[in-house]
Amino acid sequence: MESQEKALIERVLAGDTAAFEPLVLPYRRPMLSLAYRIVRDAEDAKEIAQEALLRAFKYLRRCDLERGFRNWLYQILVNAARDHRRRRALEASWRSDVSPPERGPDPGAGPEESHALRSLRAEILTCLDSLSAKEREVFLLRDIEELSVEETARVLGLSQISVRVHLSRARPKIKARMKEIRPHLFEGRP
Amino acid sequence: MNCRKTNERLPLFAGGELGRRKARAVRLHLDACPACRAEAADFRAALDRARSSAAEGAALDWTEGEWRRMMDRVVASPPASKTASRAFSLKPALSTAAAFGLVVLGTQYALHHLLRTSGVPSSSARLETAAIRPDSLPAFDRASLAAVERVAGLEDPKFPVLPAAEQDMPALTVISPETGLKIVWFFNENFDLEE
Repeated sequence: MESQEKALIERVLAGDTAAFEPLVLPYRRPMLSLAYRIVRDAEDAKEIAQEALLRAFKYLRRCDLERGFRNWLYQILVNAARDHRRRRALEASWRSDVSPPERGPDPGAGPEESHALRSLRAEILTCLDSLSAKEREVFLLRDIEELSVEETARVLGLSQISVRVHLSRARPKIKARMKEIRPHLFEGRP
Repeated sequence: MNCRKTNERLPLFAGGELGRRKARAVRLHLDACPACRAEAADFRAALDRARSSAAEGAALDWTEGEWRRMMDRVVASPPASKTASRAFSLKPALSTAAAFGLVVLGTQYALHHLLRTSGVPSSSARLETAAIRPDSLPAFDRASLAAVERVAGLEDPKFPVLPAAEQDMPALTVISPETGLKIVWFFNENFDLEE
C-alpha cells in the first residue's frame, strides 16, 4: 500500500496530475466522515474535505512518507476543519445580533437511507456532542480512525501525554452518553 | 491498587494505552474486584459500540458528479513550488530569527553606508552632536543614554547635549510585543556596540 502511494506521489510530482485521484480515492469517504464528525454538518464537511484535498495537491511535495500519507492527509483535514471552525466562530461573533440560519436537512440523509443507518449516525453524533472540540478530535482519530497515540499526537500537533489526558476525559463521557442512549448494551451489569 | 486508582486508569486501560506495569496492576485489581471489572467491561462495550456505529453510519459521500468536478478543480490548481515549499517548512521560530537577523544586518549596512557617504566625522565628534534629550525619554531609555554618555565621556560639560533636530547617533530599538521589554542598542561609527 505504502509503496503504491509512494509511486503515485512520485507520478503526481513528476507532473502526472491524473495520478492524484487514485492516490486519494481510498480516503474519499473516510475524509468526509471525519470532517462530518468534527463539524457535524454535511455541507461544511464537504467544503472542508475539498479544501483539504486542494491543499494536499498543492503541498504534496512536503508529504513525509515516513509518517504516512494517510496521517499527513488527516493532519491537513483537521487543520482545515479548525480553520473552518474559527471562521464560523468569527462570522457568528460579527453578526451576533442576528439569529443563526436554520440548518437545512442533512444531505447525507436521503430518502433511500435506512432508518437504522440514520439512527447509527445520530448515535455517534450524540456521543460526540458531549465532548469538547479537542477531546472530539482526539477521540475520533484514536478510537474511530484507530490511529496510534503517536500518530494522533502528530496529526493534532499535541504531545502524547496530552492525547492520553484528552482520551482519559473523553472516554468516560462517551460511556456515560452511550449508557443514556443505549442502556440495553449495559444491562445485566451492576 | 485500590478501586479509585483503578477507575482513574480504566479509560486508558480500555484503549490499551497504559504501560505494561500499570496495565498489569489494573488487571490484578480487576481479577479481584467485580465492580471494577464491570466498569472496565462498560468502557469496552461503549468504545466498541461507538466504533461500530461510526463505521456503519458513515454513509456520507460525494455524488460521482461532485467528486469529478472537485477532482478537476483540484488538479487544475497550481502546486506549490520547490523553493516556496522549503522556505515554508522552516520552523516559525527559526524563520522569525532569520528575518530579524536580516533586518538588523540590513539596517546596519544602510546606516553604515549613509554615514560614510554623508561624511560624518569621527565617533567622538559624532557623539558630541548626539542630541537625544534625556528628559524626553522614559526612565529605561534615560538609563541607557546615561550609560552611553558615561562610556563616551559625554558627562563632561564641554560636550553639551544639542537640540533634538541634530540627533545623529545610530541606535536600534527592539520592543517585545509580548512582554513590553524594550532594548536599545547604540552603535559607534564602526557599528561596534557601545557598552
